[in-house]
Amino acid sequence: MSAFWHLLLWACVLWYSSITLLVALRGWKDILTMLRRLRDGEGDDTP
Amino acid sequence: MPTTSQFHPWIDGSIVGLYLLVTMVAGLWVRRYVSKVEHFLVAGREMNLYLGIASLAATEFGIITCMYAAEAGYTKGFAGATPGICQALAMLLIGLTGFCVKPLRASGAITLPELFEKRFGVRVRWLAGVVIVLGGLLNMGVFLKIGGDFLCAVCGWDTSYLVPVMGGLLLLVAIYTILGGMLSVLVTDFLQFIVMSVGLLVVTLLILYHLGWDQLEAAVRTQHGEGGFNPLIHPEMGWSYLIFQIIGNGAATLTWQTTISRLLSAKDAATGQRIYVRTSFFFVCRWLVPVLWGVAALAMFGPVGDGESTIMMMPRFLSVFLPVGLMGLMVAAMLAADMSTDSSYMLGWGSVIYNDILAPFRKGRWPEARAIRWNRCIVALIGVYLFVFGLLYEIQGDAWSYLLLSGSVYLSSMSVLLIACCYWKRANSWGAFGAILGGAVVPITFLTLEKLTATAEFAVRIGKDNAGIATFAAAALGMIIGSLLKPSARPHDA
Repeated sequence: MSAFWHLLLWACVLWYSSITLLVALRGWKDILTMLRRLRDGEGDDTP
Repeated sequence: MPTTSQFHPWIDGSIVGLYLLVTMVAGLWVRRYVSKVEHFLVAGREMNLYLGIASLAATEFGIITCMYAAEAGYTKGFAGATPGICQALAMLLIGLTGFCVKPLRASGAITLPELFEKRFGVRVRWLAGVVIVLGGLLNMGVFLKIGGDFLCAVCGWDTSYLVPVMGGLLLLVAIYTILGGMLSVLVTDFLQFIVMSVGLLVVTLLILYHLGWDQLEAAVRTQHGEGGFNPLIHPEMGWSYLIFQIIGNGAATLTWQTTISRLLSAKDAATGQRIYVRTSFFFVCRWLVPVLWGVAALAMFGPVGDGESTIMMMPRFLSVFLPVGLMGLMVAAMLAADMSTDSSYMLGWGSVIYNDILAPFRKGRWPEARAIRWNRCIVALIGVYLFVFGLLYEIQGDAWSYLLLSGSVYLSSMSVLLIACCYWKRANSWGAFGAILGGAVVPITFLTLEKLTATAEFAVRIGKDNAGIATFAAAALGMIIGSLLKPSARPHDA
């Protein structure tokens, strides 16, 4: 069982590093798109 | 045990101050986009995938998370990270299949009780709102004190600083949440996710580099034996613990207001499901990273001494382990984690109070400005409650068990209501009342037994895990019995 936790820990480090980088790059664009749509009133009618 | 903190007021303090400044500016900047109550509560349903991942992850990791998971690592070894695996699997399966969340998002509801009204009527909606808020606030009430304890410990401050630290934290969070609602929460969540993630990763890598896996593994094996790696043979865990974690984490993924508010803020059901799938593995990290920190505290300090608290071992470890500079990064990361959690939770429970509990008192549709004003007042009142409750309540036993048990007040009944609402045609309002009653009576009775001196030993014999499982069973039975007892509506009654 020790090897399972060791592998899982390194999987966490690798996955978490990747997703942080990805979110940092793409999340910013999501914020700008969201604010632009709210300013233009495009999102008002979506359920 | 060494207690001198490495926190440097100027170097580390400047890093923390810079983070707080940027967060506040960003949080206040977006308030100008809030013109409707839907913007305030669900960000106009304009959230896309990566912002959703950042927000969900940041919300579900606070100082409280770090503290109880690290405590689990200290007291149970690596097996203490089992709940994270249960929740990751639940989120992955729900995201892939759309179980319950697909019809929930398609309904256009802002909260769960709003969906329940369509199937079970207005009274169930109101009562479900009350149960959600009571369970959620009872759960959230301990966040601030534990957050304050952590900061005082790692920064080496006297505990007399607890009240100003708690108050300061809460005030900052309240300001941008009250003014910007979900929009401010999402934007600050994004910043907080990045700061938090960098801090968590750097500290974890530093622990692995300095202590090494072999030393950590040896500490767990010496203290907990094979049970520190296998939850089924750990004396404090076993099958009842595992079953309760599977049920509880599945229910939390389906019904926890702050989790589903990300689904409901997503621009469509497919985006919501993708957010669940892509964030699922984070829930393993959310547990395993702090569990590692707890194990590192065990390796450094050994077993807890008389009068020492297991939950405070991890912050004590960090206070002496991290060098100047990194200490500031870690404190900023933890502040980021805590602020994103507090803001989302205040808004999450506030949205249920406004949308469902106050619904019968709103005659017609309120003007947007008035609705937003009420929501702001509700969030402010929740902040006051947090401050007062956090000072008065003392947790009995470990923090995670308390949180899961107090959360199960509503997790049990609301998950049963949601599943029945979406997939059981025979479900009706009697069944809904039965589920709410069954799901509330067991945990409230157990918490009362735990608090009374005469019955405290009896409560220990029952155990939190068995009480939690009984809560879900009672809610399910209540739904089945109530629904079957109610006479079927005749065609002309329909």
